[in-house]
Amino acid sequence: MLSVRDLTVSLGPETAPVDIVAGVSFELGKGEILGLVGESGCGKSMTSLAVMGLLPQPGPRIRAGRVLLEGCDVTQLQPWQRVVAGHGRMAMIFQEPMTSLNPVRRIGDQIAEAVRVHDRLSGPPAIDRARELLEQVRMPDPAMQLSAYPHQLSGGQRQRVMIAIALACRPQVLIADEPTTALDVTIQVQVLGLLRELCNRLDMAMLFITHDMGVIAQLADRVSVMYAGRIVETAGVEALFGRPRHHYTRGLMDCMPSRNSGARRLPTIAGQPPAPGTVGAGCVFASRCAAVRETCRTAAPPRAEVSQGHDVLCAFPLDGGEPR
Amino acid sequence: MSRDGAILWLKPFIARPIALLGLGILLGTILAATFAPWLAPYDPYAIDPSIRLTPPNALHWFGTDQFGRDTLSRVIHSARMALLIGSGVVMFALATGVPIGVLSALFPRLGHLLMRMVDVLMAFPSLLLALGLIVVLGPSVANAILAIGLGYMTTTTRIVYGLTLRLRMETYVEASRSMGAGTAWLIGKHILPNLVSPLLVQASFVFAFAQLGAASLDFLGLGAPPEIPSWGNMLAESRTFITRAPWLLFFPGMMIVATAFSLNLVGDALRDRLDPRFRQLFSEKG
Amino acid sequence: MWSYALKRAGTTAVTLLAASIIIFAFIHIVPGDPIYVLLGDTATPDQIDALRHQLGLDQPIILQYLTWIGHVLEGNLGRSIFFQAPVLSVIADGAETSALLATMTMIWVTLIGVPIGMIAAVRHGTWLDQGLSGAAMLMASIPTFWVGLYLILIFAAWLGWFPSSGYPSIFEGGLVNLRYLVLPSLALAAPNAALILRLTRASMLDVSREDYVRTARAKGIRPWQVVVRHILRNALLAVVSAFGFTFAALLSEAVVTETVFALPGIGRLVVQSILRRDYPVIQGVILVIVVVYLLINLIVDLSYRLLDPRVELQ
Ligand SMILES: Nc1ncnc2c1ncn2[C@@H]1O[C@H](COP(=O)(O)OP(=O)(O)OP(=O)(O)O)[C@@H](O)[C@H]1O
Ligand code: SF4
Ligand SMILES: [Mg+2]
Repeated sequence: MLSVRDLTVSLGPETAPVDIVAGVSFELGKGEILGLVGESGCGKSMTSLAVMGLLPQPGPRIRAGRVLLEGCDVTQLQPWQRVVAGHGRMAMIFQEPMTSLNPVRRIGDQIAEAVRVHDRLSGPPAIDRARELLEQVRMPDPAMQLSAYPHQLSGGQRQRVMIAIALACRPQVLIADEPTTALDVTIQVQVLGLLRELCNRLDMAMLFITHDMGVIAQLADRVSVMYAGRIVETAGVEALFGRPRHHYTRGLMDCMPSRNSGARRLPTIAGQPPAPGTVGAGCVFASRCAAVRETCRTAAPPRAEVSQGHDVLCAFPLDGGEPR
Repeated sequence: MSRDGAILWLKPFIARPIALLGLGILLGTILAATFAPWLAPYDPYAIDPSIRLTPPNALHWFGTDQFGRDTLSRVIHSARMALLIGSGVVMFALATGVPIGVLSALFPRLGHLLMRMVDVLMAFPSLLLALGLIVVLGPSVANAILAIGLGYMTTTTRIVYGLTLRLRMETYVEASRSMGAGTAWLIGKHILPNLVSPLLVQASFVFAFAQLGAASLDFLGLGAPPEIPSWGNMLAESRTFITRAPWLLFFPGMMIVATAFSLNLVGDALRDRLDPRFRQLFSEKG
Repeated sequence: MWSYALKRAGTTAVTLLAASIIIFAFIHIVPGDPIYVLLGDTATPDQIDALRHQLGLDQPIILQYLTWIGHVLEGNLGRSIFFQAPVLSVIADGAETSALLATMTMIWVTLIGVPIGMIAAVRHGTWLDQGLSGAAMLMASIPTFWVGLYLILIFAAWLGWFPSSGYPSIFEGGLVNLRYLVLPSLALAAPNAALILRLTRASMLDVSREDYVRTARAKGIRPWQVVVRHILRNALLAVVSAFGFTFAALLSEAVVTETVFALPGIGRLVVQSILRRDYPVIQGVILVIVVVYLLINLIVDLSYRLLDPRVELQ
């Protein structure tokens, strides 16, 4: 469905680029939910914006790599260019529901605008479709809300509107960049439930970005772990949580509250991720890895398939059988 | 200033050739004002009726006026008045605006009252305020500075007030305050140093607009006394000769434009290197 | 909305009250006793006392202020020494010219400043943008009277397309008399259009960095639709609020422009009254301009809120 290959997003001049996303690859199958996790600033949003063709300008740019949607190359294409080229069926929802809707335009207009582009409807049928979409996202009293302004809705309702706008594109791939981080816990659960249901019902694939391992565990089919602009481990959700093979993934797991019983303080991974542009030739995690060896610092670790569908970017991966 | 410091200050100008041009014009004006008696080819007051209203030529590059005075020499000497008015207005605006703004931000009760008074003054369009003051004080160079400065005192106060409020809220200031730091210490150590760069931006813009205000007053005959050479006075005097000697108005006018433009360019370049927190206080309203 | 409007109107009233005190004080601090200005130096002490009493100048200052403000509220701004006529009617004579000049200037400012500002913002970072922004800064640095003088030279003296000075009322000569205002309004518009241009550009750039603009792009609508439907309207909201300030700048700059073009407006009236020492007229004009300025700002502020649906519920 969606295939991203060696995507590299860079800042700075052509002659001395600083890579904030470095050689990211992943595959997203039909109806599949892929979780992308990593600490703040590791490049998750940049990856998703690059895939969508929404990188802010002027600013970061795609320096290398390819994005294939249903086998067609859509690298560097902005959404409207994709629509023109007939590859419009990829949509995105964002982290900030409070600021992601235009404050001076009615909800109905904002949804209908997307309907017009993707369904080539206009006038009342477009508004009807907008109401139908609001029903699909379980918006209470959809007919009324069409004429509401964003400030009249709660955060959760606004995120539902954002989902409705995304669904107007009839997406086969939905990118969700921390869609629930800004919401209260109960609302968060509802929105996650809605997203999963929509994926099942519409047979839609989703790239779900978060830094919450708990959410990933519930929602995703497969998981990619990102660190300092690189994907360091990819595996099915059971394999990843059951037998993490990368030292960083293991560290993340140890930080999860459910895995640490009782009164003990949550452990954290000591140190800071390297700033973009400061990574040398070796492993990006070397400065924080407990199992670091001399070769880690000098040579880039290989990407190894430790088992069927389980990739690790580490020279000395954890032994899968090791007791946790 | 250390070498690194100097490089830091020059950076916005080096990155933008047009800002460098602004800096160049400004430097030229200052040099012209300083060395006017040596630079000017003739005595700016010397009258020679035999060469009245001659167009620009090899002897008189900018031509001569209705009394046969050399326009180039008068233009060069006028740079002094331009710098005097500009720096006078800037100093007046800073000397009043900074204390009022800082104190208003530190003492909210007093501040509320003072800022309301600033609002009232801002209800008078600035040139009208200047004219009213000239009526009361009578026309002179010093009064022109005062009259124009009053209009910029209000905007400077507003900006300083806004900046100081922000600085005061910032945690490090809060912390030093809670440790029993005195107000004077707070102002000297944390607030004033942070005001320097934004005030430099404000000073550039005020200097630029003071040129235009002074030119307007001179033109109306309410600014510098007519016998003093100033670009505004030159325009006022030769106004009626515009059809006969269009060049007469060209050069003094161009000088006003050049100084105001160069200061605007400098202010713009300095604003762009300002901390983003402060930048928004300088809106595009000028 | 209504409570906001009331509150805003209240602040305006308080500001106006404070301004009126300053304007009242003005006539009392001008050099020379107004009595001498009225009677000349040859008046006898008896005449002086009589006039002093007649004008209420022997009363306590507070009472004098209250009497004055009472008269002002009745529409009585005093008598012009020069014209020997009520100040209000002298001002009214100049109002037509000034109002039309200001309106025509605002039309130029909007027609020039907003679209070119938009173009600069859309072409952000290109040579076109830098050229337009630089040109705007240059325009803002040119004295209006200087532009005015050269407009007269070129379009009136050389080409003869427009009259060089004066303005006969449109009520006497019909709308063609508006041609008298073309050159003055263009001169007055130049620096203000430049400011609006820069403001339009800056606020469009601000808005284009908003998250909701990214959402609009994500929908797959075309770039010009993003600009028109999402960036422009929100950016213009900020520009609208600057129109009040522009108008104020305009009232003051009109003083010079009206002098250059010899227009019979209230701007030239101020300058002439200053030269004639006709203090009641100066006082009256300042008062009227301050009232107009504050009212326009009030209206602009309230209409700004009407355009922004976010305040509906508040
Ligand atoms: N416009 C920009 N210009 C320069 N650097 C940027 C820009 N936007 C982001 N970055 C940098 O790019 C890196 C990746 O940022 P990104 O937003 O993708 O992180 P993230 O994983 O989404 O983090 P978060 O969990 O906080 O959303 C960060 O180091 C950030 O500092
Ligand atoms: S390559 Fe070396 S430093 Fe990097 S994660 Fe593996 S063991 Fe740690
Ligand atoms: Mg992010």
